[in-house]
Amino acid sequence: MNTNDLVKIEQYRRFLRPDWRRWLPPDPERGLTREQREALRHDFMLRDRAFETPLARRLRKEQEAREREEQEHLEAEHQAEIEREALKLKAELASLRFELVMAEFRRKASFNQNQPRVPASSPDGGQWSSDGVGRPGEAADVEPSPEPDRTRVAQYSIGTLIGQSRVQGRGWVCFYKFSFGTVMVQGPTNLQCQTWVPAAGVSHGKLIANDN
Amino acid sequence: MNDTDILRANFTISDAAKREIENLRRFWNENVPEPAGVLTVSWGFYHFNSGEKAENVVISFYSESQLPMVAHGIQRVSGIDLVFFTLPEYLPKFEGKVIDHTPDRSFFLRKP
Repeated sequence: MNTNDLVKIEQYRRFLRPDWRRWLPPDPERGLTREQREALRHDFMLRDRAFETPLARRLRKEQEAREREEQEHLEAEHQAEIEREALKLKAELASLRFELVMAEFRRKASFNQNQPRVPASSPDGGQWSSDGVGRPGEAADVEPSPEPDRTRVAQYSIGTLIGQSRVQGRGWVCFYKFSFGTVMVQGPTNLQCQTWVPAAGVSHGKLIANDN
Repeated sequence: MNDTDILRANFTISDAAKREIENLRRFWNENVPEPAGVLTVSWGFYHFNSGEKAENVVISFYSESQLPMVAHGIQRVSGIDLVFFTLPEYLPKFEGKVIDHTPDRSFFLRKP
């Protein structure tokens, strides 16, 4: 409701009769266009407002407060849902980053998962065994890993959907985790993210030279 | 166009790529819990563990259980049914291109 409406209400209150509806034709909206009908209804609403009884005013205000409260509640819920999604995605990315850091540490420390340890029953249980196998950082008994079959790994590894987010005006953003990294794909919102994606576009872990 | 539009595929698929897609489908059916339903083509942003970044076409499948939800997006390109899962801003990357495959480069887009 703008200032003009308030002025009009005041005018109606002063100069219009409270029983103004008696002088209306039986079907006042007959023959009007949609816009005219809307304007007429708005005008009638202002007239009604001008002669509103205190009780009707109180009920209307209560109703408006209720509607406002419901709207705010809905908006808060929607906002909370967006924040939950964002936090979930953030947590997944943090977990990915943590895994990457751990993998880097393992690589630097020449960590060998198969290196024997002292049995738990012994006082030194869990320590690296020193029976010729070596301590962490020593490369004893660690076979050099063969050169991986890069083409096969790159082409046929399968990535799993780790997160998806609907971004306003940008469709679905889908994140997939692979052994070599992560892949992000975007698409329209009336489709959905694929659950798995083979890393078909990556060859030898290098940038692909598309004709773009 | 908005983010709900399903875009018309503006590319074609070479015979080599078709053969590899069939290999990929076989691999998928042997290694993924749900059988492959329909092929999907999209544009992917790769973030490698090394810190490098890359972009390339992504070939994948919707599983059979997802088919009812995506059936409205299926279109036929070079004799293959597929869903083109991308946004209008990535359309120029596919415009008039051929999806090809070689053992060295895997799937890639080239000019006809």
